[in-house]
Amino acid sequence: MKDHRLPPLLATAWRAAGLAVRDEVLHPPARIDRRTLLELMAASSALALGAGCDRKPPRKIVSMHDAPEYLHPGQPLHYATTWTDGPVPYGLMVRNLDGRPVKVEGLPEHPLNRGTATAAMQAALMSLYDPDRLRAPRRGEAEIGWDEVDRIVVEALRAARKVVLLTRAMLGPAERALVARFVAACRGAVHLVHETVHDGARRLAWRVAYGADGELRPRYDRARVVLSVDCDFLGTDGDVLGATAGWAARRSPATVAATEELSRLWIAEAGLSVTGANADHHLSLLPSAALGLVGALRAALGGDGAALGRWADAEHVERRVLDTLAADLRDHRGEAVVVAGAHLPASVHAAVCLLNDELGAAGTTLEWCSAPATLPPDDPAKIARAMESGVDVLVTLGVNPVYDFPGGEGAALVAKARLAVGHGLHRDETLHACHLALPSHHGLESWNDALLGAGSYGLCQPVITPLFASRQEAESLLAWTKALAPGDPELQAAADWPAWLRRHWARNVLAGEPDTAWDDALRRGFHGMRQAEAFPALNRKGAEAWAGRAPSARGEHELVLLPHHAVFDGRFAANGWLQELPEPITKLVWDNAAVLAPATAAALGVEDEDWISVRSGDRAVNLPVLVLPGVAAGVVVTTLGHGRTAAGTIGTERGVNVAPLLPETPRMGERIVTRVDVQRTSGPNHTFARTQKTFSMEGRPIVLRGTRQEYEANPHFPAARTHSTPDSQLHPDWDYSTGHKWVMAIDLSRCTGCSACVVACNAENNIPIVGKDECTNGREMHWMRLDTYYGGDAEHPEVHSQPMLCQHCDNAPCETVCPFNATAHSPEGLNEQVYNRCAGTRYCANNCPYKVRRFNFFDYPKLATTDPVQELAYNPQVTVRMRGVMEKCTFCVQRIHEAKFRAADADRPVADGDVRPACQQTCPAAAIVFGDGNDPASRVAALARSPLAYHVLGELNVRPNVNYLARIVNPHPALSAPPGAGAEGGGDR
Amino acid sequence: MFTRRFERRIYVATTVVLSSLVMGTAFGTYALWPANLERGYQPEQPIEFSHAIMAGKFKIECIYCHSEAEKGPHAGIPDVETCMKCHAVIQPKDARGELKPEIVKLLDYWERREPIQWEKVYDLADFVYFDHRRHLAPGTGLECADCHGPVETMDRVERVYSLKMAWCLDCHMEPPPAGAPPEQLTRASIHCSTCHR
Repeated sequence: MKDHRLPPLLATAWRAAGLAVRDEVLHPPARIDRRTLLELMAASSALALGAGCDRKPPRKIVSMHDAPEYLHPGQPLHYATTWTDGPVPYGLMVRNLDGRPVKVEGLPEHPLNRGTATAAMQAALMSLYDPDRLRAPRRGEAEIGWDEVDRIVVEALRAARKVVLLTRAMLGPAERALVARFVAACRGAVHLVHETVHDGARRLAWRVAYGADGELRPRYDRARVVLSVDCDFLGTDGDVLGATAGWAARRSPATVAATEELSRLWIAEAGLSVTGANADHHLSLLPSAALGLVGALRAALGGDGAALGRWADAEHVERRVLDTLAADLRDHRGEAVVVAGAHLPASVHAAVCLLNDELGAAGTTLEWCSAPATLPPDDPAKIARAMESGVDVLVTLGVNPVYDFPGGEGAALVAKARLAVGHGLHRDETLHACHLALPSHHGLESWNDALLGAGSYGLCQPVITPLFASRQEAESLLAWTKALAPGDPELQAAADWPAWLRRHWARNVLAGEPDTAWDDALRRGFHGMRQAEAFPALNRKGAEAWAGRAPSARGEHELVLLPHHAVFDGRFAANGWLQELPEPITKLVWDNAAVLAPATAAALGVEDEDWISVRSGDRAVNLPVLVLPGVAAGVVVTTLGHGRTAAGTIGTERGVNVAPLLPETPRMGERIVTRVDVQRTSGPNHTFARTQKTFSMEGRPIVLRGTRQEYEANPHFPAARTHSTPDSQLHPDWDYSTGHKWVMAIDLSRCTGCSACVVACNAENNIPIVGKDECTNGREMHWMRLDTYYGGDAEHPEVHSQPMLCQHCDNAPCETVCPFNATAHSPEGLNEQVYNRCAGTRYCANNCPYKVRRFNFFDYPKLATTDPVQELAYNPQVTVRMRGVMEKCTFCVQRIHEAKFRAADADRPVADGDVRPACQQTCPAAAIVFGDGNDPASRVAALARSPLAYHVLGELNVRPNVNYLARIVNPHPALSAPPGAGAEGGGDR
Repeated sequence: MFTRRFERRIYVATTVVLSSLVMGTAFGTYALWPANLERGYQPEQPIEFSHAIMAGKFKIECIYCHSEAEKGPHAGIPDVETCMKCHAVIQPKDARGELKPEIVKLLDYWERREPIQWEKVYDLADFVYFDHRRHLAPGTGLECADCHGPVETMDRVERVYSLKMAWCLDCHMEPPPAGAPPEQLTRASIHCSTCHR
């Protein structure tokens, strides 16, 4: 249609502007019909409305009814308590905000851990707020009240002729006293202790050797030479925090007085543990050969070197290496210590006692403690004997025999009880099998105590009102005992468990102390420091008798069952932070595996993620294979704690339960099977989620490592191995001449790779877990990670661990590419990430050479939250990030501000040590130091000036603010390669 | 195609529609602009508590009830016990000699040991970390009213300022006070992590 008139819209506009319009002038017409006009109008009004939407949803501000005067909103309160869930009663400092714990830290003054914390300790927070906890007592599927529970249990106990009380080994003195009353009050009652991971074999050998129950505590801070016989003392075996602190104190030239003071660590082990990764010399050891090695070393120290040679030949170990080891021990009498893994037989431990005695370790590098925190566990055979004929009442307190009883017989044993009463945090395998499932308080909701050593007691206090209708195990025990023993005045005088605890303390712990002692103990979290004890005399004859036993028979393959580095024996399997904590060596998450040496795997014809069946006697378990260099040939190393069938949404059906393979013959907690049948088998397609895909530095100077000899020859060797940074650059330098300049230093000689810092960072910074599938996609969210690299040869690789976090570069590549200016540079040297500005282009992550930026691919806080109780775990001082937002390490900027505020309130400058990021605060090895680089007197400035300090990828001229201190190892001079060899950080795998 | 008359009508109608669209958009943008949405927010509270009486007529200091303002990040809302410090004794009655309804509500909360759920008037986004103590510290020269307006005149509290980032920056970006160190270019820090963590 031909139309020469002016389009009406345009004409209107022109006329409105006061211009005459000739109709004929403009053509052709742009027609706007009614429909288009309406559409346009609708669209523009929708835009106008949509842009502003509405005011955000209203929120409430709730006043308290009568606020306690010590409670200040938004200001943390710290409570001291004790970790009673784990194998060692470490002290906890719990940070409470507005009435809820938001962070669990180590207790600074505590005699055992002195302010540091393990991953599992810190993850206690996640267990507390676990929505899958059992919330009310149940009889079968029906929820019942506690009165009803007490009625049923007391009635059954009154009528019973045979009662078994099955508890874990970690019982405090007050609870032990109560258990004794319970056993006395019940007819035919027996108290048995069940643990799968414990040091029963060691305790047995020590009892034989020293005539009394107690434990030996190695003093790694005094030892110049340490020999570990398959003992992962830096990872999972015993008091790891104390051991790590002591060991690390003698490892770094930056912190020891003279290089002669550096200690040397030898390890002979079956797998490749955290301790093995940190050893100066790593030997492969079949578990069955451990007794022979210790015996041969004893002979060599006694002057008979032939036995050592024979052993070396039989085990295909270089004689020269073993002779050097024997000589090293001999040269350091009184400064050497030998430790053996808790999973080895008692005969090995007896031999180690004799070896240590010959080395003069007693009273110098070994201390005696007559008051271990745990009860000696009972032999599984004894427990089975007590239960297999059927008991009238079985009470389990915090143990899970259905899951982890050796041989897999737990379910059958529990089923034989006429009334099975299970007390636990979750409705786990055992509580499912029990008639009564009773919810326990979490450790952070409990009153308790613990033995820390002779004359030293830990006190555990609740830091939150119980979240659910749970009751503490001891409270149940007290209620039942009171009902059974109405004539016992002491029991009847205790109104409840806290009253019993306090009474017990008043009589036994604080007797003769002033009235304020209880409040003092509550405030400090413990009472009394450990007293030095006289070292008991060695019963040489008894120890020799044990040490002289025949070594375990050797099969083609040998099996070692170790506790998992994070979920331990399975008790922490429901904890997401721990499931997603990469195993320090293999970087495996959410899973366990049969770890094999490349040679073993080749012989079996299997590769990573293939399945093998491991058969011991009549029991077989199928496991996926993970091939790892450094493992002894012929050994299958695997970890307990996975394969739970009832551990909530997090822990159920993750990995494989290997507890059925635990030896069940009376062996006192040995966790080796020296004769297993291993076959290749088929299984479902399996994928391991590993947070690191490649383990080689490709010859680049990422982790610098030098021997002590190299360091002594040229302390400045790191400078020679790293590329220099250009002197001039296009961009102007930042001016940091005034104010603070935040800098970090990480001493790689100290860092063991234990990964406690990762969980500390998770807790402090509200970092979500993403699950196994997303870990497989490489989308884990950890701001702090431990990179592991292998160097050297495949049989005995050098393992390098490196904490990697945002380097807060001065010339940050991420900052220049952000189109939204969402990552900016602070005048104090911080590289800041502003979540509310971030649009999620991910340019910054692509441009980061360290791959430390993490992107929220999903709305993890919403996805992971199935219950509002989980939200209580968030640290309110850090923003919870939403989908589409980039995030990364902030150097704990909230702590920097807090320290500044505290200093401003006190009208003083921020002092060195005032700001400690979460990773530094928790580091058991004190490897991380943070502070003001502008303050020349600060610790971090001193470390940054050290000749060992270098920057990772410094040649990119990004000018990072994290200084790594090159790792110095201390191999024996007789065995160390001449200086200059292997000059670049590490070779290929 | 169209008659002249009809065409004129189209011109007029289009003019009216377009101008109302422009004005409507302008007005809508103004009214729905986030800062303007916040200004004037005056929710109904569970108790008709009047700051005009407490702070205006009786001249009770802000800090008496919001005692945390000088001590910590949150100014805090007083607990019911704080109300009862006075109202245990002061219980005004109406003309018929009965307790006034708002007092009855308060006494009920106290009796039931129930916290009062007030409507939040000053609600910052979760990614903003504001600290009252720092803003009231000596030397800042700030008063409560600088951000909260003349609360002592309000029967029902109303948000006077938007508390949006641009509004914060108005103050933060002022020239530094006399005697400030030379590297300080603004009155207060304007770096991201000061408020966003």
